Amino acid sequence: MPAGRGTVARRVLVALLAVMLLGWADYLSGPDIGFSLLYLAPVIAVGWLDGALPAAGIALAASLAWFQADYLWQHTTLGVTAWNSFTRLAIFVSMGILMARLRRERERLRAANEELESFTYSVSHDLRTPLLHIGSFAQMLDKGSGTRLDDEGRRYLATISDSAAVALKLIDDLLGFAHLGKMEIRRSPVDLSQLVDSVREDACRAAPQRSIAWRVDRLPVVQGDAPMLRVALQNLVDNAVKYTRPREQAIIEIGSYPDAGAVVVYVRDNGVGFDPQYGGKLFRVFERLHRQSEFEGTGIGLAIVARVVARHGGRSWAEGEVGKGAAFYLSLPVS
Amino acid sequence: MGQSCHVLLVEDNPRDVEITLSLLAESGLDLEVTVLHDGGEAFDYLYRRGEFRLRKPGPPSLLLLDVRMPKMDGLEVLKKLKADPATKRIPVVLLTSSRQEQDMLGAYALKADDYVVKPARAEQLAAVIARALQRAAGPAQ
Repeated sequence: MPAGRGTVARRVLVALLAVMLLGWADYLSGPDIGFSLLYLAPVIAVGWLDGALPAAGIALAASLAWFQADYLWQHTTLGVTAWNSFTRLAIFVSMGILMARLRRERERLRAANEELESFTYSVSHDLRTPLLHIGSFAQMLDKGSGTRLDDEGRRYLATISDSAAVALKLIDDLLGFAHLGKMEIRRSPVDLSQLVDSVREDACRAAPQRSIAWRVDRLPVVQGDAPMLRVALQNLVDNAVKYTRPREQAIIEIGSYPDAGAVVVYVRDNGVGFDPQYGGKLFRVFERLHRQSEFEGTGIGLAIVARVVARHGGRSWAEGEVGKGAAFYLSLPVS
Repeated sequence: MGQSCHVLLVEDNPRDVEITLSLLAESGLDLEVTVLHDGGEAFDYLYRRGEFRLRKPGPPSLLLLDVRMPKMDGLEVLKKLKADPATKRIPVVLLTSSRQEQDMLGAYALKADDYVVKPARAEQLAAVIARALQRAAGPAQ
């Protein structure tokens, strides 16, 4: 149907208006207002040009695409539903604007990442150094003059030394946790049985005096980052060893079972367990369910486990009962 | 190690110097230690320049090098040492508070003999130094 000059002029005007609205929204407004206008503009444009039904279609598609929170998907659905050529032009132009915005955001994130990198580098050295001095000089004082101190004096020295060691461990664990968030994940087939054997050997070497009955099943091969998975398993096994300390005979079971396209690996122990009503806090940073005087630790180990598993697209959870042990589960994609 | 080994300790922080000297004394190794406070001083010593022009000739047996130092950091010092035929055979052990992976990887890529993260124990330091000295002496025998 040939369009009259008046109609063409109106369509051009609407398309320009849509582009201008999108441009203003992008540069002048905050992200929420901008995105709302981004989808409002084509809807207005199509409604004016083609009527209410196509406008409603676009509005519905935009609403569905919005929840996908993916720029390409959003624009694809808009592009497909907007069959009017001028609004299609407006939408494709808006894609250009949004791509530019994405590039800016990416640049901003890269700069923020570099700043964080520099910050963690400083923390790694500049914050550790005075703590190292405190611990080392306390030890030197103990070796050189410890015999001249009374029991109370030696206790103070030991406290200074131990506190410095705890603070150092905290910094190292925090740095490890931060590092996990940004390191690139390198997936390859990982033999979990081999990882567990290695982790178990380390645990036995660290606590040779303990009586621990290990019940380890054959574990599958999964797709994952081997060093990261090792860190996660090490934290779980170290926790099991720690929290079974009050037991004359500790029992630690490690096994797996399939679960809907994934494999669930579990580490179960007969240790002191935990109160399940606080189970949700277990995987959070600095959250502990036992006093420091009962069981040492920084409260970051399980947060590290959760982060590793999340980076693998899996999930982690725990079950337990006070005095009756605990079980920790990780679901991971299968090879 | 038959005779006393001459170790250059390159470290800018006086407290770290004191701690390391204490560990070396405790290590049981027969060492003569010269303390230098930054990379510039280290190169003046090695090339017998400036205040060190009258020192007795001969390279040290080993360098104990901190990473984080002002002006020239430990990795830059290591790079220069390994680039010069006159100094590249001197074993270098990095002794540092830095747990940063990039420092460790950088150190090994630049052919450092070892990398020790503080807090170090005397036995650990002794083992690392002994190993580095043995490796350096090996090919010459």
